[in-house]
Amino acid sequence: MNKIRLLTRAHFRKNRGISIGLLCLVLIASMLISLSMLLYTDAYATASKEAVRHNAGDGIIRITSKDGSMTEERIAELIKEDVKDYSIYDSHVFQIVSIEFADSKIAINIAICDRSVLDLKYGRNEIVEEDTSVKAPYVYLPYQFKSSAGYELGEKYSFNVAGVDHEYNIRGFIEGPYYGNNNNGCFQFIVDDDSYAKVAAEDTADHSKALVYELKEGRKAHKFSITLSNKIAAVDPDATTDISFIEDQIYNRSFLTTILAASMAAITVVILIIAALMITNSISNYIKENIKDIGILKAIGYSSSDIGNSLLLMFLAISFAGSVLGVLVSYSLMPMIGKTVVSQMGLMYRVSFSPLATAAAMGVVILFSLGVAYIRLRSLRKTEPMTALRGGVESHSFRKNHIKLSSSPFSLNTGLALKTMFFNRWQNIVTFFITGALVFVCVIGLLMYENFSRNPKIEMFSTEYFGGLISFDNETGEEAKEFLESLDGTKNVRWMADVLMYYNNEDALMCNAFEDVSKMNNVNVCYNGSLPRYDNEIAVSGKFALDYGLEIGDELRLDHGNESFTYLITGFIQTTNNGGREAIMSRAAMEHLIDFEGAPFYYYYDCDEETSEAAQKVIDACEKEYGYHVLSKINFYDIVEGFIGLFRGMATLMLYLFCGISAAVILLVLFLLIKVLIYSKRKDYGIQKALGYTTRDLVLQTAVSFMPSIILSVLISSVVSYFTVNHVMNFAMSSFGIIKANFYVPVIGVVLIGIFMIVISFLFAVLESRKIKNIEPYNMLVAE
Amino acid sequence: MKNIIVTNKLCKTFSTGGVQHHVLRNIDLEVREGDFTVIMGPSGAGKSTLLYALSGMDKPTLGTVSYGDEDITKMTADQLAMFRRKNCGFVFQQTYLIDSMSVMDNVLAAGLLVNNDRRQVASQAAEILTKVDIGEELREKFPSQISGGEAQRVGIARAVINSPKIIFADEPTGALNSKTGKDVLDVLTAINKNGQSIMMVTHDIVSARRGNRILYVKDGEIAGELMLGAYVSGDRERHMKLRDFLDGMGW
Repeated sequence: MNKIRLLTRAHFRKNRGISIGLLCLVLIASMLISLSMLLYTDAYATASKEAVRHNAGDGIIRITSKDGSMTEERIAELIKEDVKDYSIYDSHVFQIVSIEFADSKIAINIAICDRSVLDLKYGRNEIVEEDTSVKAPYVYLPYQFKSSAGYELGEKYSFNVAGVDHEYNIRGFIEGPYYGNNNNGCFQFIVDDDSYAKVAAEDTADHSKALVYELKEGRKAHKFSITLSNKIAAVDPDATTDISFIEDQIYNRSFLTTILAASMAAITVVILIIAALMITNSISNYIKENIKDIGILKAIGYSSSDIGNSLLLMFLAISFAGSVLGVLVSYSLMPMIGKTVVSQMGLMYRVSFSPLATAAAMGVVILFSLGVAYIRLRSLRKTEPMTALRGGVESHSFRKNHIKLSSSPFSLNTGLALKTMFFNRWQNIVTFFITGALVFVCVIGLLMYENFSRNPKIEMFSTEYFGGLISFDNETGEEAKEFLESLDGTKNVRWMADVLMYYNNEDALMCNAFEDVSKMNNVNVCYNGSLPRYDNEIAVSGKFALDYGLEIGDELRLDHGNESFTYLITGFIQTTNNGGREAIMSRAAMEHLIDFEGAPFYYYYDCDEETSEAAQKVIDACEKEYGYHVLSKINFYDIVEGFIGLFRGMATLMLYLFCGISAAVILLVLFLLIKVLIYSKRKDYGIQKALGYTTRDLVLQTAVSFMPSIILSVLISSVVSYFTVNHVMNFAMSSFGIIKANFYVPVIGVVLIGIFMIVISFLFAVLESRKIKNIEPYNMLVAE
Repeated sequence: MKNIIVTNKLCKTFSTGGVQHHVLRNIDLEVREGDFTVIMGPSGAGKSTLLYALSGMDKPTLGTVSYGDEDITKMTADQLAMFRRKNCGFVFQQTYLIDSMSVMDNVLAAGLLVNNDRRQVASQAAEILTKVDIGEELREKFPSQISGGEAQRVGIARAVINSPKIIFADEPTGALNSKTGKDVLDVLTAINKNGQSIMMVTHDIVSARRGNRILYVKDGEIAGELMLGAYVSGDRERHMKLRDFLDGMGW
C-alpha cells in the first residue's frame, strides 16, 4: 500500500495542472447534478411542501348562495359523510376583475377576507412580510405580488370594480395553499376590518363560504366535489360552487416553474453529457501523456496492478474532492437559483438538505470517473514496457493515410488541417455530437422566442381569442347584443358560456359553448377531426381523451346537476387552459344539461382595429349605455399582454440563455479539446515551425481541423431540429394540454443559429489555437 | 567563394535564477557557399546554440546574422518562418518526422510550402527519396513503421526538397548505429558535392571528417578553425590532421 501511495503522490506532483483541470470538470459535473436534483426535489417541491405546512387538506370549494341558505351548519351537514375535518371561512369575491400585475393587467377573481384566514386549521394563511406601521385601509397581498410583480410594503395598491375604486396600503404579504398565484384564477386578499365591512356592504362582491376539507380514508376528491355540488344544487338551485383541488393548485402554481426547471434540466443534461465526454477525454489523455512514465515504472519492476491502483487512487481522490466541492457550491448557489425559480409560484424558498441530491451528485460523478479510468487502465495492463516507453506506439501499428498531400485537391494548409482532423478524430466526433445537441437546444430557444414572444401563439393558451368579453345581466342581455353589433368597429359578436361538467362522476371538464361554433376565431384549436355542428356533438381536449382512451366517434356522457347527456366526439382540441381539460360544444348541445333561463349573457366581440384602445372603447360604450347591467368585462389585449408578458419575458430569456450557454459550452469544449490537441501535437508544431510554417498557418490549420465536424453537425442538426422540434415540444408540453404542437420555426432563424454556431466556433477555435504562438521550435526541439 | 552567412558580434546569454550564462560570446563568422562546415566542441560549449542562432530558430541576445543583405535577427517569428522555408533545411538528431504523416507527406509538407505545383513537387520528392535510398514501398509508411536510419534519410530528403541555401544538421548520426550513420553521412556528402552548403554539429570525429571546414567552439567562442580539402573516402592523412587539430584544442 505504501508503494501505491508513493506512486499516487508522484502522479499528483507531476500532473498538478492536469489534475486541477480534471478536478474542475468533476466539480462542474457534480454541481450541475446537485443543482438539477435540488431544483426538482427541493425547489420544485416547494408548493407541495408548503401545502403540507399550511395543512391544505384535499381541496377547497367556494360556495356562493344568493339567499344565504348555505350556512356553515348546512354545509357541515352535507359533508359529514365524506369529510374527516374541515375549516370554513367567509370571503367576498369580485368576479373577473382586471387588475394591475407586474406592469400589465390580468383578469382574475379577487376574494376579500379578514384576518380569520390566518388562524384556520385547514388552508391556513401565513404572513411572510409585514410592516405594522402601515395604516388602514390596508391589505395583505399574496406573496407573488412581491416575488413576481415587484410590489413593496407601504406602496398603494388599487383596483376598480363596477366603477368603484378599492385602494389600499400594502401592509404585508401572505402565503397560503390556495389562491396565491395568478395561474389559479383567484387571488385572496386580507384587508382591515373596516375595509372588509365596506366590501361586504357592496353588492358587487359575492358573499361566499370557502370550505377547505380533508376527506375520510378512501374518498376521492373529484367524486366528493361533484356529489357536494349536486347536493348544494338540490338545496339551493341558484347557489354556485367553485371547486379546486390542492393538486390542481400545486400544478397551476408550478406551471412556469416546471418550464423553467425542465429547461434547466435539459441544459443540465446536455452539459453533463459534455462533462462526461470531457472527463473521459481528460482521463484518456492523462494516461496517454503519462504512458512513458508507466513504461519506466514497468521496466523497473512495478506491476500493472500497482500502477493501475495508484492511478485509480489518484482519480478517486480527484473525483471525491471535486464532487464534494461541487455539492458545496451547488448548496451555496441554490438559495439564489431556487428563489428565482420559486418566485413564479408566489412562495418563499428555503433551501433544505437533500440526501438524495447529494448522494446522486457525488455517486454518479465518482463512479463515472472511476469507471472510465478503470476501463482505460485495463488496456494498459496488456501494454508491454517497451511499447509504453515508445509512447504507446506499437512498432507495427498501421494507420491509413486519409489525405495524401501528393494527390489531395485541397491547398497545403487545408490538407494539413484535414490530416489534423483525422489525427484528432475522436475529439471531432465529440465536437460533432456536442455541436448538434447545442444547435437543437438553440432551435428550441428560437421556437419558444418565436411562438411565445415575437408572435405569441395565443391559440395554444386560450380556447378562443377575441377582442373583448362583456357580460350583461339577464334583463338586458339580448338587447345588449344588438347594441354591441351596432357599434362602429365591432364585429363577430358571439354568445358564449363556459360551465364545468362532470364525467363519470370522477372528473371535471370545462365545457365552452358557442351560439355558433363555426364563428370561433381559433380554428386551430381543433387539431384532429372537426368542431361540433349539431346539438349532440362535442369536441374534447386530446389530453382528456388520452386519459380515458376516447377516440373520435366515441360517445361521451356528461353530467351537470341532475342532468345527463351523451355526446358524440367529433374532434380533439388542445389548450393549456384548465390543465388542458376542456371541451367545445354548441349552445343547443349545452342546453341538454343547462337551462340558461335567467342566466347572465356573455358576449365575445372582435374589433376592426386590433388594439387595446379599440376594445376598451366598446367596453366604455357598454358601461355608459347599460351601467350596472354590465356584470364583468375583459379587454383581451390587456389580459393577453399580462398573461403573455410572463411567457414573453421567459421565452426571450430562454433564447438568450440557450444561445449564451451554447456559446459558453462550445467555448469550453473547444478550449479543452484544443488545449489537449496542442499539447499532444506540440512536437509536430515545433517541427512545422522549424520547416517554415508560420504561426498563422498552424493556427488556421488547427481551427479549420474542427470545422468539418462542426459544419456537418450544424447542417445535419439544423435539418433534424427543424423537422423534429415540434415532436419534442409535443412530448414536453403534453402535460400542459398541447398534444399536437404546430409551432412555427422560422427557417431564417435556424440558418442564423447555424451561422452563429459556425462563426463563433471558428472564432473560439482561432483564439484558442493562438497558444501555438508560444511554441518555439528551438525550445521544443531542445526540450525533446 | 561567396559568403552566405555573416555574423557580427553574435552573443547569446541565458539567465537562470538571476545568474547569467554567456553561451555565445561575440562570434564573428562567415559561412561560405558550398562549404561543409562542421562545428565541434565539448558539451555545453554552445555548438547547437550557434547552429540554431545561425538558422533563425533561436534569437541571439546581441549581434547580427546576415544572409546577404537580410539581417535575420530583426525578423519577427513569422518572417523567420518564411525565411527558413526558402533558405534553410534541417536535419535533427531525433529525425523529428511528423508521426501522423506518411514518409512522402513529411517531405511534401516542406516542399509544398515553397512551390504550389503539387505534381512537380511530388515528382521532385520521389526523385530525392530515391536518391536517399527510400524505395517506393516505404513512401506511404508512417515514421513509426520505418527504421531510425530510414527516418533520418527521410529527414534529409525533407531538408533538401526546397533546395535551401544551407542545411543545418544537429548530430544527424547521434542516434544511429555506425552502419546507418555512415549511410546518412554518405547522403550528406553526396549532397554537398552537388554544391549544397551544409553546417553540421557533431561530437563524432568520424562524422566530422566529412567536412571541409572544422570550427571548434569552446566557452561560447570559436577557439579554432581547420580547413580540410574535399572529402575522399579512406583519406588517412585527413583523419590524422583532424585528430591533431582536436588534440590541440583540448578535445
